[in-house]
Amino acid sequence: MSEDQAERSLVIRHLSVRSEKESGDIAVRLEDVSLELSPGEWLYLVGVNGSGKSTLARILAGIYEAGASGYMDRGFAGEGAAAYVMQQPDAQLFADNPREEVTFALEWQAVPAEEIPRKVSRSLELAGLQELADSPWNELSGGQRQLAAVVASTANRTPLIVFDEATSMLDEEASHKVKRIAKQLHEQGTAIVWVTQRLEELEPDARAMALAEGTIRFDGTGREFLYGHLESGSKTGREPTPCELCGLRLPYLAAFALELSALGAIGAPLPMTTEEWATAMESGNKE
Amino acid sequence: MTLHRDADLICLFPGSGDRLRLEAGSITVLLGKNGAGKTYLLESLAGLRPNDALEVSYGSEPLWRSRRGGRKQRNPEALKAYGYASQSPEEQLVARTVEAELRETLRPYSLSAVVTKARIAASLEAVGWDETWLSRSPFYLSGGEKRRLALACQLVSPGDWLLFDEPTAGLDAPGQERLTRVLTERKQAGQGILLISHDSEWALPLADRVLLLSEDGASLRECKPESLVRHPEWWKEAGMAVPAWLEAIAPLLRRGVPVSAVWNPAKFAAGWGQTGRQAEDSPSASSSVVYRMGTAEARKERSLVPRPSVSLFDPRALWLSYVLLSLAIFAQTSWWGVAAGGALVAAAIRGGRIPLRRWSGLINSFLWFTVTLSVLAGLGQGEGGGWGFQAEAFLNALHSMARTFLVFLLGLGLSLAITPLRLRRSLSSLLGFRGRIAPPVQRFLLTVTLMLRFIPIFLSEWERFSRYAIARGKETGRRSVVGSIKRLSRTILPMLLALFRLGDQAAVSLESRGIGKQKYPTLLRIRSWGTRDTVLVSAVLVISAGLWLLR
Repeated sequence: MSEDQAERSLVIRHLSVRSEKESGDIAVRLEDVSLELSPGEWLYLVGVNGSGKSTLARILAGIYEAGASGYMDRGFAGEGAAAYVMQQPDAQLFADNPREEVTFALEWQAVPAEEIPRKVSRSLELAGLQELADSPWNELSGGQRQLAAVVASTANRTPLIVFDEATSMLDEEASHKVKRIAKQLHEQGTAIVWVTQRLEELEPDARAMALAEGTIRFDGTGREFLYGHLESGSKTGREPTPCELCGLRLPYLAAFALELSALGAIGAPLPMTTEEWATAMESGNKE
Repeated sequence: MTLHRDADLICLFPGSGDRLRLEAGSITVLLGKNGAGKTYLLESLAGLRPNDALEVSYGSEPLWRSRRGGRKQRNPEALKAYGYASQSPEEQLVARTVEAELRETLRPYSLSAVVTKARIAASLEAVGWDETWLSRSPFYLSGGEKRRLALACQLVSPGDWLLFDEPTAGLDAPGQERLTRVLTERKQAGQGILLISHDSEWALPLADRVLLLSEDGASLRECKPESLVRHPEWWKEAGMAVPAWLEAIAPLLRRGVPVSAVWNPAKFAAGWGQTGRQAEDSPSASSSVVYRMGTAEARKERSLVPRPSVSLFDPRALWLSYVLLSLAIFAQTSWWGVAAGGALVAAAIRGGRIPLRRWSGLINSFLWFTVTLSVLAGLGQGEGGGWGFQAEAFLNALHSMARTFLVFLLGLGLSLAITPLRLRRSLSSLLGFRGRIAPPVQRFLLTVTLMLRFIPIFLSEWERFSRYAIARGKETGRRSVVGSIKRLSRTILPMLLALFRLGDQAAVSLESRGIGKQKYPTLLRIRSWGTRDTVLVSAVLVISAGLWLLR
């Protein structure tokens, strides 16, 4: 890859994906979607089932999608498929234990044979799987299997990684571990596309994009997505936020924050993270 | 409190003598850490898994009954007391129309035509559909519509209990609201609801009672949802993270805003200015009961399947032995030869400690298939020109099918015993030249490896859909031809569809990892052929030669 290409954004223009159903109807899965993804960016992609977010995620990952039309410049992501982690660990594991799995992945990256064992051990260690490295899958929990899938997909590579609802089957603790690996990779300069239905995973200042019925309905920050553009002091019947407009349930805390804001108890920017909530609660205590 | 309704779900834990009663007309939410065994517990409560650690009854109907000879059998009356919705219940749709799908759920209940019609109409209405939907095909519905149909199927069931496993996963906001409304209505109508959810924001406001499964799956804490809000340490004891929403509002609770207001954000927000101390809890708000189940050991044992002893051998040796034995079995022309082959296969499976028991469903089906096909082959015109049952043709067909069956058993055992990647690696080092392997050979090896890899998944999917077939068909597990065929028809179609989806995902995953693209992947050296491998192959060679001579 030339240096210039490594710095170029991944660009998608007027992308549509149509597929013919067995009944003969044409199903539109994505309609006229345009977006840019910069090198090293973190993008949250949200939407309900059937909104087209998974289709878009696959295309971003460079996976062939039948019925797609439009323009795409892979830019920094390069030709060929990027790492793509899915919801179901069992569909992504081809070996019998974590060590074999990562070894298998590295073999196909044509990593020299003498480097493989060391690289495998190191990446398993980073994920905290070293003690389970040789245990067969049925002795690992779903969360541990998913971690192994993440390690195998991300071993030794790529400027872009797409996580497609990779945490939806996991509990909070296991989700945190998967996300921590993603964060580590992001710090090393990898661009991350994080597809999710769990809105509590959004971050206030990171980019969030929402899809509904195959089109992009929102592209902004996580905070704007949950709360919209709050005009300070507007107390009369609030407008639906972008989150609600996309058919997603407003998380409890977001609903609570909006109620507090309507009462004038707290003002913009409304809290999202644990720390912001702690601060907001403290201010409430002083009143 | 001793109002005995005949519809309550009663669960006795023989290990401790503790007794849990879930009341009909209430909503109970089962929470727990991933992997603690929530689904296992729900499936045990539904009788889909034999579980000696609990004795369950629906009202006065015990879930299991002892038969002569001590074998336990499901009680159909207890099975009829509940409707069961698994995770992704839309995977279980089997019929050609929405109406047939709903009737499928009702079939075990043998209701009158009028009642059936009324139930179908009511369930459609509950999910917001009219009668025009009845003739549509489930296959052409969108994902969300399939989910809605699955909910209608659950609601059409006339049982006293509705059991759900993660009902909100993947539902959009309107779908979740619909579910909330419907569950509340059903509770008021007197049905009992038990559901697993990791979505505490959605589930707790709905719950009358909460069951918190401990991390090791050995005990259950029963309490009110408000108590769980008051006691973050209970979450931690169960190995779970305290939900972020609960952490965030904790200071407000400490300032005395009543817990009862938590579920309504507007009401709760109104307590913002409150500066009092923590409100005195009523005793019931902080009380909980812990039930000791003692199921953890049984589960652990189940998941620790002993590793087959044949895996000590080099995969190449095992494959060579398999090919030799198969050829020898296929060469048999006499029934004596088939019997000898059968004895050998049995010895190999037993000696190799190959866990074939889990496959009994598939093996039985194959056996039935063998017999049925042979009988069909026997029906026809004889040499004299007369129509009827031709014993010779039947025996001929049975003979060749029996050999196929034996080789199938052997092959199944082998693929369970060898880990596919080990096989691939040993074959590629066998076929490789100067650290490289010709791309067509490489592709072939990869294909074989992946097919083998998915055989255990095939098995677990088979088991999963067999369980769902029991839940829906209310089968008792008695062995009969009709029963087997019925269960087969309810299992195979959804299982194949699930496998296709899985295959599609696996293909995407392989593509994203660049597997198959790379012309010359790295070849890793493996441990070389040992003496024991030579001994094995020699022994098999002698045995096969013996069989060959016997034919």
